[in-house]
Amino acid sequence: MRLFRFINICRQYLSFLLFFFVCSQLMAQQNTPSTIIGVGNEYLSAGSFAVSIGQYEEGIRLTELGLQQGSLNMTDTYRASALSNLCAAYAAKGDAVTAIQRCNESIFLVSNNWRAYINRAYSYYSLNELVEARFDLDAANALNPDSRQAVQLRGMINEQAYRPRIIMEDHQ
Amino acid sequence: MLSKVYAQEFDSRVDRPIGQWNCVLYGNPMIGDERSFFSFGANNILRITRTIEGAISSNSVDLSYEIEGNNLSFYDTISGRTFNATLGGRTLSGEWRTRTQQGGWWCSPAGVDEGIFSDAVIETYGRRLDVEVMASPSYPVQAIREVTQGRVVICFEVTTLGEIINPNFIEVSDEVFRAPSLDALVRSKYRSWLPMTEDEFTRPACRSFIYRLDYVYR
Repeated sequence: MRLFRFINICRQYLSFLLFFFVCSQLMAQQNTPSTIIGVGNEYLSAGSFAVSIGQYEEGIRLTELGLQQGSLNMTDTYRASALSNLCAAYAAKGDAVTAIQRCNESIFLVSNNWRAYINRAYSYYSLNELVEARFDLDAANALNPDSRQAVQLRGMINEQAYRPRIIMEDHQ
Repeated sequence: MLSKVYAQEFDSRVDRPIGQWNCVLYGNPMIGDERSFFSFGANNILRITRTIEGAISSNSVDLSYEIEGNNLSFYDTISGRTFNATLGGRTLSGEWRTRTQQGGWWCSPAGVDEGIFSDAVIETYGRRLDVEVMASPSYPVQAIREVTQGRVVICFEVTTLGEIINPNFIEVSDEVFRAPSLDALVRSKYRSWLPMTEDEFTRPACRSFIYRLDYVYR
């Protein structure tokens, strides 16, 4: 009886740990430009989750499968979001050129998805094309002025775009 | 023209400036920085004595000053500048203006009377301070990220050994620049400017830190 109770407590503890781990991973990935979508398409759901926890290769594989599976009956909004997810995954993986292609496709389908603009801005930033990055960031900001990701990315771009200089003068 | 080293009392505020002050006037591009000796009398008369080119000149002038509320003001007829200060702070400092220019001034209390030193000491005092260590601040990353530029002016006293004491912030355009400026200042040092035996004296000085960001087009 005692052993059973002990096992039960251990099980509860482990499930708490697992829950905490998943939560912390999700929190840590909040700053990665990504879109959480996929309701109704298990591949897209699993793909977006994989991207959100940093498994970009798996996220790309699942999202592309989801796009193929739902190619006939998927709305433009869904497709655009999935493409934006792919863009985020490619950008996070370091393949900014492919990421920009996916973002372009996403924006071509739905032009008011601020996440796609942020993902493309991040991709341009990765390529050190700061003017384009800033342009996309402005677009994202216009669509969603409260985006924390936009603030963070703007800071990263500014760090690259500005050279600090300090002038000291003595008065005596 | 020298002031004794004093430990700043943080609860002592300058409500009336009666007494003698060692002052630095800065911000005039034509003349450069100036040092002056301000002597505020109880009869609303201010005597300004200027130091020029390494020696105390006889260039003294008596002016009248006004105090309205906590605002001190006087007009220097020789330089054509109007001086203003807000009293109640821990130091005596403010700004000066002409029709086309503006700058600042800062004074530390002068602990001794004018004229008790030998010519050699006065000549030493009149020289510019030589910097021994000039520490540079680092531009705060947060300020770069937010594209914040600004300016900080800190006035302080320099002991005869060249150490910086009693720093006072005269101007801080943004709080983000306060810590790096002070950090750089306290890491700086001047060369000693009087013999070691005269180590109880100080002279005032100020330092401006101008933080700028240049956009790099890509």
